[in-house]
Amino acid sequence: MDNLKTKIEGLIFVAGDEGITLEQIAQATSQEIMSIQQAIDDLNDHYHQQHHAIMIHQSLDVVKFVTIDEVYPTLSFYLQLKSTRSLSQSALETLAIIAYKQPITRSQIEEIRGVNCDLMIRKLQSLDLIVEAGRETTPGRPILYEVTPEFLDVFNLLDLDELPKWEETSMKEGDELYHG
Amino acid sequence: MFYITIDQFEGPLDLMLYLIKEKKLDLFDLDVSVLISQYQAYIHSMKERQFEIATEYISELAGLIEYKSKKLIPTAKVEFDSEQQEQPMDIVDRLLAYEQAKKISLQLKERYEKRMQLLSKPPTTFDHQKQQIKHQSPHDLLKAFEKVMARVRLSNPFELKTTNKELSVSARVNELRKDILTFSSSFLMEELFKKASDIQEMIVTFLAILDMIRLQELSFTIDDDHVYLQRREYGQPKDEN
Repeated sequence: MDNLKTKIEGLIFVAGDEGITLEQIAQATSQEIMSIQQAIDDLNDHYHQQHHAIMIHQSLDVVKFVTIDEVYPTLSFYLQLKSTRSLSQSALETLAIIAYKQPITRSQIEEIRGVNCDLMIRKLQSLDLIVEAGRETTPGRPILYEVTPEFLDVFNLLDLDELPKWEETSMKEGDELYHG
Repeated sequence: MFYITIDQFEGPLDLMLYLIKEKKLDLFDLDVSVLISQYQAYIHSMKERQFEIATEYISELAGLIEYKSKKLIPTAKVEFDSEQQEQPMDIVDRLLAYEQAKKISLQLKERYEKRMQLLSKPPTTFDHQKQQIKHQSPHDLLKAFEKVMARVRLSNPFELKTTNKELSVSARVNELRKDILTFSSSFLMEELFKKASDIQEMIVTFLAILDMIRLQELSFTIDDDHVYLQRREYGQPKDEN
């Protein structure tokens, strides 16, 4: 392991679960972000090959050490963790819509879900999974929402492109095809 | 007999998707009339078993019927369509979009559960102020504690209660009449608020004071920030002031 990788390892270690940005590492080591990213990928390869219990988790430009899922059964036994808390189906649906259609207004979300989403939006905001992202210019200037970096972390995503494709199938063109 | 209850659905669109799958309808070539009758039958059977049906379900039924009736009426082709205006999505588009959202929510759930199994530790902190503590006296701690208590009082100025006390202004006037007999003939208005424990009592007290001024039982003078009230002695002629 060369010097840069060792430094990066130390920085990520002390940053803990708050994580450290590539930019911060670049400043602390006076290196280019490109080479930082390369070093992090190399470190991860190394941990994997050597069967380490930890890996570097990356979401956008934030990296942090996490344990790998293979050791979770052992760790949860030791820590006496009960089953992991989960998000409700309606929370997940609302997040899915926002993640794909963002920035999006509440009424647009409700159009797709068919139910009132007022409380759900406030709940997701309090969980720091979505934020307000300005207002639409249409009458009433409704608030727009988008997902946060925290959303990416919690759903194990490097960035939004990692989400599977939203298969947009509009029936508008095919309207004449069926006689309802 | 196994029933599927309304609670198992996330909303009306979820129910429609279930019915479409159950009756093997083709979402891309949707027979809306079949969907309407199935949907309606389901809502009815839920009502019979006394399940509460949220208004959203009824409203979507109306939406379905509207959509179907629009399909039946031949539409005149308008050259410059209202396409520029944003059209509300029709029911088929919404069902397709909702189906997508559901599909993706399952993947999100998987990802979430997987991520929750990756554990991390809090960041290393170094407390620079640790060394300074020994130079401080217990007195400083006491002062700090008092400040905290003052802040707590400020942030919780009133007791939280959910009593349903009936406060009438006239009852409060009667109370005040008794109270002010114990005061000197001129006193600060704040004195009368000391016993008020919540905002309602304060408002009623204030209204009572105003009423007593109107009845000329009290008069007031204002000196800078302070409002002084003067009690009118009984037997004193009212026009003397």
